[in-house]
Amino acid sequence: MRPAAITAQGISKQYTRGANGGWSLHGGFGAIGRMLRGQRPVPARQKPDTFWALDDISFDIQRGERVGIVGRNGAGKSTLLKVLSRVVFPTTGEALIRGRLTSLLEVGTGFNENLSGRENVYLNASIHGLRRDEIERRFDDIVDFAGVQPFLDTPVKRYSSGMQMRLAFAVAAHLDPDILLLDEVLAVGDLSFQQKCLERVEGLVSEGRTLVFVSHSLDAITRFCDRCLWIDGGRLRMDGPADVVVAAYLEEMADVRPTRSWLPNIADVAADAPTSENISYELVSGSTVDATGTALLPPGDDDARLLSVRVIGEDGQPRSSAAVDEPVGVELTFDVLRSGKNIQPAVRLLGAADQTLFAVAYTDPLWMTIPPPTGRHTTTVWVPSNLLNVGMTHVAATLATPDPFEIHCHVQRAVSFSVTERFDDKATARGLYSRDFPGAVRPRLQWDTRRSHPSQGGSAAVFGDPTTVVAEATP
Amino acid sequence: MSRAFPSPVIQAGAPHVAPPKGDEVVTRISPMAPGLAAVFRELWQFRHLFTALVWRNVRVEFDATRLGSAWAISRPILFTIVFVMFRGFSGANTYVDLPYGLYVFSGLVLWNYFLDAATASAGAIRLDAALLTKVYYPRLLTPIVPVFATMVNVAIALVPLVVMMAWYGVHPGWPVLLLPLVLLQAVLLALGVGTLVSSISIENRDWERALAFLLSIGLWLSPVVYAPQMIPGILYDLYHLNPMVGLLLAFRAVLFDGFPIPTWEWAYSAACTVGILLLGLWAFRRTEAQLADRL
Repeated sequence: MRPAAITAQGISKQYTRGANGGWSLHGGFGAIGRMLRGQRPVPARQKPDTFWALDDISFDIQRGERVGIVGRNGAGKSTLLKVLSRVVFPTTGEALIRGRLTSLLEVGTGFNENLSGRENVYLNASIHGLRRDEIERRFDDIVDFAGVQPFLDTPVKRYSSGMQMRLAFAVAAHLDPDILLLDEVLAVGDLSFQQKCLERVEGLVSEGRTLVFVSHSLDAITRFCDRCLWIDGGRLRMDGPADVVVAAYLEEMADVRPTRSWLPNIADVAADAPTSENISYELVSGSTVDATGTALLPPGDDDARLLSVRVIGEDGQPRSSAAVDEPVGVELTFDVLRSGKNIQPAVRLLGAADQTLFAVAYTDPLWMTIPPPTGRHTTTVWVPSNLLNVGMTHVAATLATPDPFEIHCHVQRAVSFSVTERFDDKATARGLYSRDFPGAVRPRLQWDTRRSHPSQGGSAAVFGDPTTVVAEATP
Repeated sequence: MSRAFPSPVIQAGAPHVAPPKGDEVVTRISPMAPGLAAVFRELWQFRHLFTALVWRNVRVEFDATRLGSAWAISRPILFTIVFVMFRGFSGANTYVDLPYGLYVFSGLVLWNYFLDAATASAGAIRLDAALLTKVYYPRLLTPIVPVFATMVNVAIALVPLVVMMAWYGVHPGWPVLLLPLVLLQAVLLALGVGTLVSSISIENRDWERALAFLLSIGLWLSPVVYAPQMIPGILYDLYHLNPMVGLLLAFRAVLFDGFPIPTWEWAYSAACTVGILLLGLWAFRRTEAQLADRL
């Protein structure tokens, strides 16, 4: 096996809080003296207030691996990228980089407003380590990509900010490194710029480059990365498959839970025949009242109470994330406490901004017309594969009687899960599009295409041959 | 929300792993700054960036003010006129054997170079902060680039100097072949001072101000507008501790035939240059490890 592209061992970085370090004029002579005596320069304050931005981080990244880094603000993600790109030195630890590494911590680093577009391309590319002949080879591609030909000899300060951004990204996109470090680059610019970035990253990724990618866009991470590091408080909290790590991260950050239960342990409740007379939820839920003295009961009323909601996969196990092309189940457990009313469960799927994607009424043919007897019921509704778009999906759970209409309980955002997609999954509703796919849902539907007027040469070529259809539609 | 519907894109072919390159770069990242040999190897690798950055500095200098090249000429000329008038009105004895205007102008060309280059080099880190905190390149390039870029001023000022020499009938002799050596020494001395000051003044500008002050005094402590013979006996040796003395005299000696070559002064000045440069490089490398943290 070839050695890893990046080997990091015990990387730590210590920073000092507040102002210090600069040598004032009066302290400076002392500092020079210390330097001459071969001692380390000491910070101005004797007891520096220090903290570890990175604390003993070790990992290997293999060639061609695509690794995302997640973590909350200030967790040390960017510091880690800065260490790997040699902008800052680690305090302790060591790393080996095998291959040509380019880091894009910012788009347009080193652009000079007074220089022309042409000069800035040369300057910016040389800053990222390209030789002059390498730049000349790529120059036309870069200019084409940016679309700034008419303004090549105009100072960049006369460019619109969009043009500056396009030019800067065009340079970055043509650096052609073995290892690419990206830091939130995709967060800059308008939507179409982000799309362009994503497409280019996708291109690099499919060429087998090594990618290390810091982003707050978890969708982008699950899409491009096969592995993810979770940095928390400067430590490596988790290292594993991207979807698993992202799901765990989401669960903690966004309080996104794939399961919610209002009783500590449902199995403890007398399961045979709970009714409003014989069940005492207080006994099992431990604390019986909240701070205001209201009894803590599972949501519902004297007719029915919701006990738990879970997101499950086909194997019946709880899931916090699901691939676009696999079905997801929402399992509801509820107690019917009084017989007679036609109490039915319902769910509503909500998008990331709590907008309703769709509601699902109860249609189980065995039960939908019969008032359920008292007792514990568990029911699962299956959301088919290739229906939801990628991103967060929340589930609202309801217990209601349709006629006369009565809501027994409604819990908004009872549970949540993320829908993920890998960039190389081709058999989804995405088709051949690589950009962000619009819409709240993205069902994969049946297409029927017929070829008509086969005798008319020109159009027949377009309609007749599926390969030319794609090729000709490409700009 | 208006969202452009995605345009179709041809999928890239089956993913393939980039072919292994023949000689693969291996970079070691550790808490220590790399050794001197590695530093120079890297400077050589990044020579294209050096050219690009020098070009940037020159372009910006001569673009920001349209009179860029005119300033490079007019500043020493105006100063020369002032000094010539001052001497003419006062009748002061400056112990200068050469035509006074030529003596002052040639002194100012080199002195202004040193002043500009050392100041720019010392302040370069702050100017390049956005770059230094975002991308890796040999940090030493930051103070090196301005001392070379400022040389353009000297090149421009050489034009009126040649005109003046023709006017006064002063010719260069064979020592003019040593001119590149003198200029190189000026570059290295400015670099030494620049790296030394910049490495102790990353966060605190006091040292840059101190440098500006020393340089403005230095004009009078160096043989720019007068000859060293003007300094009375007891201070004469002390005066020669200034490494710019030997350098300025050597500059004139290589330009003007008949101007004595100041062997000892120059040798001392060269030794000083090497010492200051080594001190500056050493100080800079010590601060390098904390550079991006402290900007």
